Amino acid sequence: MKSDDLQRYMDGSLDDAERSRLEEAMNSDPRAKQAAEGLGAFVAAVRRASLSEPVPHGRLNAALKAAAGPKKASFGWGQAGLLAGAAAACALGFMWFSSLPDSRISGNTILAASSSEAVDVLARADTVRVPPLNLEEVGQYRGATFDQSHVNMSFEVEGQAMTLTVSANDPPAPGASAVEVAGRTLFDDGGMCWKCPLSSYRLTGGTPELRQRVAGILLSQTGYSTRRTMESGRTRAILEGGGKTPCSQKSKPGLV
Amino acid sequence: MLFFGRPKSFEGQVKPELPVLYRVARRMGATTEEAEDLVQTTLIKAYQAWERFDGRHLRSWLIRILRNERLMLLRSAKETSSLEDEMANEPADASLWEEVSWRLEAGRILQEMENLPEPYRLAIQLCDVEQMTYEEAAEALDIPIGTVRSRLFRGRTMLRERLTPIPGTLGGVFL
Repeated sequence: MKSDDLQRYMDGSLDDAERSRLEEAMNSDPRAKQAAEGLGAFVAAVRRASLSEPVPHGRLNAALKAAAGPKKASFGWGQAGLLAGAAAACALGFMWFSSLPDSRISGNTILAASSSEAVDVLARADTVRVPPLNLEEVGQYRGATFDQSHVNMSFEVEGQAMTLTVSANDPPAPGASAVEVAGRTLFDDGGMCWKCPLSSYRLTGGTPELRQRVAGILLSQTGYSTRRTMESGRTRAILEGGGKTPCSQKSKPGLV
Repeated sequence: MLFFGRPKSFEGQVKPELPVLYRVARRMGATTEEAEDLVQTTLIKAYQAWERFDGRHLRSWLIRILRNERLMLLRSAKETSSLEDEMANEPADASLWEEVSWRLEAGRILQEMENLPEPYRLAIQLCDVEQMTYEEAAEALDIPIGTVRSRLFRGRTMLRERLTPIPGTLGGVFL
């Protein structure tokens, strides 16, 4: 079996006869099947990596609205006067509008359709800075609330409600047990906890196994390396900088 | 209400493509700020040309505009890239993909993608990430379908070679 055939098979560009021939070959040759699965896993990993990159939805939407503004057109002097009046009204309207808070914030709730959009909103809010997170990679984003020192992002994984809380650093809870997540030792005291220098993460909800799995993925998104220290006889993993965005860069002084 | 003949469907149709345009701009080597600027310029050009758009393959059409804008920027900076004979480099056996059933950390993959020559990087971005067909990618990049396929093949091969083995991976996540 040629690699080119395998690629075209995976990309869905073989005709029916070629596809049947290749599927027969894979059924009779475990190595060929393994190769197809390997290519599939590789492509999926590349796709997941690229889609995990944060997208500034808010600013792109604003750019779209700006680009799709009224076109220039020929018009008479009467229309020019009308337009000048409209421009003045718009300017006043803009001054009023720009003094308003972000319309995607209602009280302590973020009105966002996705976790990346919520992060984008939070980046402008007076709260703990949340690094780029793509909760859609692990489940369905359900919403976010915040105050000046905590951000709670809710999502659902395999039918189980989970919450990721980002807050100023807290010491590990007494009696917390060390848990191995993705080869790293973290704490689980009913919630999976990890830290970067300025902020703490706490993942709650779901079964311990699900928390471990989800924490592993979220750790890779925040991209922090670990440093191990001994504290009270336990191994403690501290997540250090090196992530895509310093996690509390915009936090209020004194909160972290 | 229409203002000066503004095509009301432009925003609605283009909005879902914004993340795609941004990611493709990033894969073209643009920084986050440059990518935003590039998308913005693309949107302006697309809106100006909207009435001439034939309605086929919107994503390809937008990416072609994006790519042209990027090329104009690069041309002014006299940045060029060369591409070796693509068809001659294809290995012919499937063993290449054996043992490649692993999970990789996103940052590492993106980093290695950045190191690929741009033609290969874009083929992977359009076909594997944005899941465009060979035909749509060919239209977006203004190249023959066979070239898309060979770039995709070569790009995947190069990326796989750079990513494996990865020291320090355990449990599927690289920290």
